[in-house]
Amino acid sequence: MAGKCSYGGCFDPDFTGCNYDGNPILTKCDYYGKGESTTEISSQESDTYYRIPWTGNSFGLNDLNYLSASSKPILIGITGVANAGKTSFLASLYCLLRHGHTIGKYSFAGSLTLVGWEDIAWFLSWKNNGDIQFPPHTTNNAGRVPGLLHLALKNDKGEKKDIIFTDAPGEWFNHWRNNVDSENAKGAKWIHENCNAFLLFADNEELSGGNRGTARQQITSVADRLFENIEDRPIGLIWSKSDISIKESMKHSILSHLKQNPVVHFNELETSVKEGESGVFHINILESINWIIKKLQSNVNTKPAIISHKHEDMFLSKRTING
Amino acid sequence: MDNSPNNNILIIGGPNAGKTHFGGQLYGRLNNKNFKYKISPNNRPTDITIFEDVLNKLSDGKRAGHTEASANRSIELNINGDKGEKITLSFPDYAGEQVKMIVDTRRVNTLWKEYIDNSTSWILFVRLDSIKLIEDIVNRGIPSPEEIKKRNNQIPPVKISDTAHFVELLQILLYVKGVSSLNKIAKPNLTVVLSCWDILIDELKLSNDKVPAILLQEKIPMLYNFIKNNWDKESLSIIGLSSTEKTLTDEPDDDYIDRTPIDFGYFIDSDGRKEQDLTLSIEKFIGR
Repeated sequence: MAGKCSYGGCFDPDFTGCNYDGNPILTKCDYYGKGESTTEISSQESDTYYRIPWTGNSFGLNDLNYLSASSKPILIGITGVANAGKTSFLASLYCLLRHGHTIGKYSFAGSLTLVGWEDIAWFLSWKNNGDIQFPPHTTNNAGRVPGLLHLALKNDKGEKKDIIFTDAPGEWFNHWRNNVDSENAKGAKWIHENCNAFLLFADNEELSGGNRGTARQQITSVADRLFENIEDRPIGLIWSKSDISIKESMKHSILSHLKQNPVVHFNELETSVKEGESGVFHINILESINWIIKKLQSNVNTKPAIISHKHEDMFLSKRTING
Repeated sequence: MDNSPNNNILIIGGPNAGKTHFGGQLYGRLNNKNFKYKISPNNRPTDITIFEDVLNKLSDGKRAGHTEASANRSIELNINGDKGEKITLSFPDYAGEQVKMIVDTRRVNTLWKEYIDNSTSWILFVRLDSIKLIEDIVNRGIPSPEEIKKRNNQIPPVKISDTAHFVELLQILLYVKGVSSLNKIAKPNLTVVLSCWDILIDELKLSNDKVPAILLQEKIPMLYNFIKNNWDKESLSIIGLSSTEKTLTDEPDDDYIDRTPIDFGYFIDSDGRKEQDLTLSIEKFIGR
């Protein structure tokens, strides 16, 4: 129960619209106004507006209901310890799409978290004074579900993929690698249980610095947790900040540790917010997602061609593509 | 051919996007026998106050005033084509701030709900010359480490980029109209109008046969990908428009007075061809 609605899954109907049965007129919903409202209900004002069920900010778990009702989104877990470049990776991905880049044959077809994407991309955008800054540390609010960023992609055949990225603080994974049942590891545990694919971040800056021993230990121990019950879910190892090079022996020791685990789909890619030679670090950001899409759809039937869709065709309206 | 006799056009454009000038120049031509589509002579709208200000100003060679923020009027025009076909066009007149408000407040009022529900064609006005170029790590790289160290802790602005603004606007309108985006959209038709084309030619030094769709892709690729991925190509067109052909000010322009306003203005069709008969843009809007 929250806000002006007594229904459990509806937190702030005045802002997000009715989450119970999508009633466009809030006051007509049986649950509206039955909760312990903290403010006076002005039914006159509520009557005159139609709301949309997404805020544009990062999703919470309940927001997923709206999306997963019509298609089965791909959940990609962005994992790794603090300061490994996870949020910068997501911000770079969005900047690339904003400039028209494609993910394999897929290009941008919408997002329900545009404000969330724009917020993190703002940090990688030039300011008036010619300055740029990296996204700040993702706050560790000890939550159980990470912030979720949504992206809809379509290819030239019109096949749609809804992708959800987790944007979680690195501390969660630090707690999780030490103690899976720790109260502070619940968010990381949720990511491990629910995601369809993972990207694990190895920070070249740390792996080449004075603390490289500890850094390696952190990465391999997060990886050990991640590889438990992985089955056929793809895992991509992302060497972030790859504009800084690390010793081959360091790379080799991490890779050989990871490869002890049985895994069906594994890949490693070098990325950075700097584009690198011929843009390779940026290309790899896009390629890491393309690789996941390809691995996940390898066991899905191709979609029958529907030439044109009119919204009166109710049957076709509910057809899902990757469900 | 479109079988439905009623084509309800909703012009969607933010402040200063050129909606009013287009309305005036289109009406001026519809009212003249020299163009393909004409106002049905026995069925003239009884009230044309919507166009009063812009028609008067253009006749004096001046720019039209800003539509007042509270204005919400709409007009229905009965139009005949040169083969006698009948089209009913209705378009609402409103201040562009209302479109901005939809994205900012993430809700639509009952009047807009009605506009959206009744519309069969959407015309999105985009003024590329007033869109801020995005500068980020993709096209500007990142500065030296010394500069990064100087970074200060600013809080991200609430404002989103223009490309995200347009995408969110269309997503909201589609949701309100109840259109699924799983498959390509056939109705409503979408025409993206790159307005003030004459300014774009000057500022971007465009060639005379520049294709509007390519320009949109170059300037705001994420919006281009969004519409190309979501609309059926039969129901989508991207055109350039210069309603007045040159920038008018509050000072009278002698050419305009001497040659009459309908002698000015053109649109650039999907292939990059210049067309003086603005009434032909109606065919694009309704998806013929």
